[in-house]
Amino acid sequence: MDAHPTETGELTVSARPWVYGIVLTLEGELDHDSAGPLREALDEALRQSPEQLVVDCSGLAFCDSTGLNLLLRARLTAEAAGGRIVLTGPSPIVARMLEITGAQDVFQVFATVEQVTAAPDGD
Amino acid sequence: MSDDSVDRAVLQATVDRLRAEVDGLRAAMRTRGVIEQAKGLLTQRLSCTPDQAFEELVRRSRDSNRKVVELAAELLGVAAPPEAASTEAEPESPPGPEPVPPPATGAARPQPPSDGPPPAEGFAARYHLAASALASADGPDDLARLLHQYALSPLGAAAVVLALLEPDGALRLVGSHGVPAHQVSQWQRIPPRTAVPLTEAARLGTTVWVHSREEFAVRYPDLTGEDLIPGRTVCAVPLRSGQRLIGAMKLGWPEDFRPDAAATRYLSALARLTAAQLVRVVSADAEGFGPLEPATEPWFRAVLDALLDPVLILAAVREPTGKVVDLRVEHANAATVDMADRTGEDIVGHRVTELYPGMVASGTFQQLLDVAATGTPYEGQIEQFIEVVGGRVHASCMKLNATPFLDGVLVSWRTHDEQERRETQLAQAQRLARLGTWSWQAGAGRIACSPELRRLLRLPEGSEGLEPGIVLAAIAPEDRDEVRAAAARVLAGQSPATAEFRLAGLGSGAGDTRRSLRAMAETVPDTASGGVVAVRGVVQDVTAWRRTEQALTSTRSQLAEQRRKTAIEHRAVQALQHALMDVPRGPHEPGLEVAVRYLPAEREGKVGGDWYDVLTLPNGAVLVVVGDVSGHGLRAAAGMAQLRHALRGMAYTGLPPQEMLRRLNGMLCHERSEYIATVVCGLLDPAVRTLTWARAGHLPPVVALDGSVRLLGLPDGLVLGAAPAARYQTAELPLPPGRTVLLYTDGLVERRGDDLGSGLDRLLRAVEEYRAAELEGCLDHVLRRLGAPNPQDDTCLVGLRLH
Repeated sequence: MDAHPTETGELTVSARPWVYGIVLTLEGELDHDSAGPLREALDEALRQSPEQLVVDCSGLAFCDSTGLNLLLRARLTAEAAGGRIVLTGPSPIVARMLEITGAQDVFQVFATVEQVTAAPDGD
Repeated sequence: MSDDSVDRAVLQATVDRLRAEVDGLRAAMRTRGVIEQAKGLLTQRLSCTPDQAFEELVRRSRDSNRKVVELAAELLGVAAPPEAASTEAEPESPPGPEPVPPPATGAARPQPPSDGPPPAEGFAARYHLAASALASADGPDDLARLLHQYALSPLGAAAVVLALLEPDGALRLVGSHGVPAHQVSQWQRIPPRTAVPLTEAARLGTTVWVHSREEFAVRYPDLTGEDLIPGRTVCAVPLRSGQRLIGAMKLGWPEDFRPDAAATRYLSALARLTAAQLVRVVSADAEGFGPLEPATEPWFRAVLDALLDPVLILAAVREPTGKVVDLRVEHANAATVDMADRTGEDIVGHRVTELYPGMVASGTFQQLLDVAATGTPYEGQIEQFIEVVGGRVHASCMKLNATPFLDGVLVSWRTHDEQERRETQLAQAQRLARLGTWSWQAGAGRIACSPELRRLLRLPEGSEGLEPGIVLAAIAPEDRDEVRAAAARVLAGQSPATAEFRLAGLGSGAGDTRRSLRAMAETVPDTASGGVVAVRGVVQDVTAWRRTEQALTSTRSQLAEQRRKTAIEHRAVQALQHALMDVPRGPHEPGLEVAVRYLPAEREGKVGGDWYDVLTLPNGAVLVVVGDVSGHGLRAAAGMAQLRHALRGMAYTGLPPQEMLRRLNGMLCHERSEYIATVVCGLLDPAVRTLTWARAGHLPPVVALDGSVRLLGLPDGLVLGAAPAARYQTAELPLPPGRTVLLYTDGLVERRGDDLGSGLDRLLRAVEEYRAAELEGCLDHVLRRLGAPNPQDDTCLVGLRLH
C-alpha cells in the first residue's frame, strides 16, 4: 500500500488530450469531501463530447460511493452523447470496490492508458 | 579651488621641489668627501656610529630643508655656498647664545645665515655687541630694552615691541620699550585678522615697512585710534626660531627712515638673534608666558591623544615671500589613521601635497592653505574624499575641520562611513517594515519626520519638519478626532498613547481601500520639572494586519455558521434515522433471532445513508434489508427513506428480492436521482428454512455455522441508479439451526487507506473468534474487533439466526 491514509482525502485531477479523446488523471483519494475537482473536470471534459474519456485511476488510493456515483453519472452522460468512459489502472482497493458494486461491468477497465483502443463501432 | 591651472601649479611646484631634492642628492653623491668628513666629526662628537651620524645629517637636512652637503660644510667650518643662505635656511638649534653665529668673518665657525655678505663693518660690530648684550636679558621687556639700547638706537629707532604668536594665530605682546604703557595695555593681544603691520608680518613671514602715517592710513584704513608704536616710520619683522615662526617685532622711528641694503640685512640678522633670545627668556619663565610651542608640550599631546578623532598639527611651509605654499605634518595624535590606513608615524614630517594629492585636486588643500594664510577656520561638509596611495584607491566619506594653529593649521576629521551605513540600514528597515519615526520638541512648530513616515503619509519628500496641520490633513477626516484625542492624552501625561487612523483619500464603507496606520507616542519627561520635553513615536502601516484580521473574522463567523448548520443537520438526520428504524417490524416470528447494531458516523456531517429493515410480511416471510445511500447528510437520509419505503411497499406485494431490486433500480434511474445506493435484500422463509437474497452493489453477507465462517459469493447486481438495464441474480441460502447470517454496510469493514479485503478478513476472524451462542454478544464482539464506530461512515450490522 503506497497510499498514505489521511482523515480527509485530497484529490488532484489533471486533464490532457489523447488520441481518442481525453485522459483525466486522478491522484489521491476520491470521497465526498474531495469530489469537487473531479466533478468539474468531468463536466468540462464531457462538454467536449470526447469519443472516449479515460479516467486514469492508477494514482487513486481510495474511492467511496460518492466518487463512484460521479463516475457513473458521467458514464450516463457520455453514453447519451455517443461516447464512453474507460477506467485504467485501478488499484486493488478500487478494483475491489468496482467488483462489489458491479461497476466493473458497466465501465470498461484496462490496466494502462496505452491498452485503451478506439471505441468499437456501434458500442 | 576648482581652477585646473591652480591645481596644476600646485602639483608642478611639488614636482619641482621633489626634483630639486633628487638633484641635491646627486650633488651630495658628488661631494661625498665633505659628507664623509662631517660624518667623522659627528661620530666623534655624538659618540655614535658613522651610519647614525649620516642619519643625523639627513635628519637635519630634512628638518632644515637644506642640502646635506651644506650642513656638512657648515659643520666642518667650510664656507657655505652662497645660495645656501635664506630666511628659512638656519638649522634648528637650541635656544641660547651658543649657537648664535657671530657676524665676524673668517672665523672657523658656522656662517650666520644672511643674504650675501655679512653686514657692513659698523653693523657687524653692532651685531656682535648686541649678541652679547641680549644674551644677558632676563625677561622680554629687558630684551626689548637691550635690543633698543645696543642695536636699534644707532639706527634712530625709538620704540620696540616684541610679540609672540599664539596657537590661534593671534599675537601676544610680551615685551616693549619706548611705548606708552596705555598702548601696551591696549595692544596686549592682537587678533589674527586685525590688519596691522605686526599681524601682516606674522601672517606673511616677511618684513613690512610703513614709511609715513599717511601711508599707514591708506594701507590700514580699518585701524582707528593711535598706532601701537609712536613715530613716523614703522617696521614689522617676523621672528623665527629655526624655521618656525614664533612671532614678530615692531620698531618705530620718530623721523622718516629708509634702510639701505646693509641695514635691512642687519635688521634681519637682529630678528634671528632676538627670536633666539626671546625663546630663551620665555622658556625660562614658562609660568608667566605659557608654553611657546604647545605642539611639543607633553601635556598638549596627551590632550590630543585623549581625543577620539584624528588631529594633525600642520605647519605652514612658506616661500621666501612669505606665501604659504604647503603644509607639513608636525604632529599626529594617537587616534590618527588616515583613509589609506596610515598612522601618525607614517605621515609626520611629510607635506600634505605629497600625502594627499586628492585633496589638492578637490580643493580641500586650498581651503587649508587659506586657513593658514588668513587665520579663518574652515568647517567642511560631509563629503567624499578620494586618495590614491601606493596604487590603491581609497575613498571615504568624511567631515574635515581646520582651525588656525600657530604658524599653521590644526586639522581634525571624522569618518562618516559607519554612520552613513547605519542610517542607510535604518532607512531600509523602516521601508521594509513600513514604519516611520517622528519626534516633536516642546514648543516647536513642526514635527520632525523620517523619510519613510512622509512616504506613509503620502507627503512630498523633504528634510524639514512637518506642520501639525499638514499631518492632520493627511488623515481621513472621520479619524482626525481620535488622533487629536490621542495627542491630547500624551500631552496630558498619559504616555504612551496609540491611535489608529486611515489616510485621507478615496473609498469608504465596504470598498474601503484606504490604508490604515497606527501611531504610537511617548513623552520624554523633564526629570527636573516633570513636564514634557519632547514627544516621539512611530507610525506603522497596519493595513495588511487589519485586512487579514477582517478576513479571519469573516472566516470565523462563516465557520461558526457552518458548524451551526451542520449540527442542526446532524440532529435532523439522527432524528430521521431513529424515526425510520423505530417503525414497527410486524409480529415477532417464533424461532427467529434478530440483532441489530446501528452506529452513526462519529463525525458530524458524515452521518446518513446507512439503513436496515427487518419486517415480517403477512405470508410469514421476513424481509431483511441492509442498504447504503451514497453521500451524507439530509439528502442521503431522504434517499434512504425513499428506498426503505419503496422496498417495504414492494415486499408487501410478494415480489422476490431480485425483482424488488430491479424495480428499485428502475425507479432511481427513471427519477434521475442524484444518488446511487447499494442494497442487500433477503426474504427469510422460516417454514422452509431458507434465505433467498439478492444484492445491488452491496457487500455479500457473512455466514457462520459451527465455527466455520465464510463470505457468500457475489451474485450479479449493479449498484442501484447506475444503469437502467441492470439485472439482478438471486441466491438461496439454507438456514440450518444455529447458522448465523450477518448483513452489514461498508462502514463496518472499510477503513481509509486500508484494503477492503483485509477489513473483510478481520470481520471473518472476529466472527470465528466468538464461540458463545448469543447473537447479541457476537455483534458486540465484531464491532469491538473492527474498531466501530467508524468516524467517517455509518456502521450498520444485522444478525439473523433461525433456531
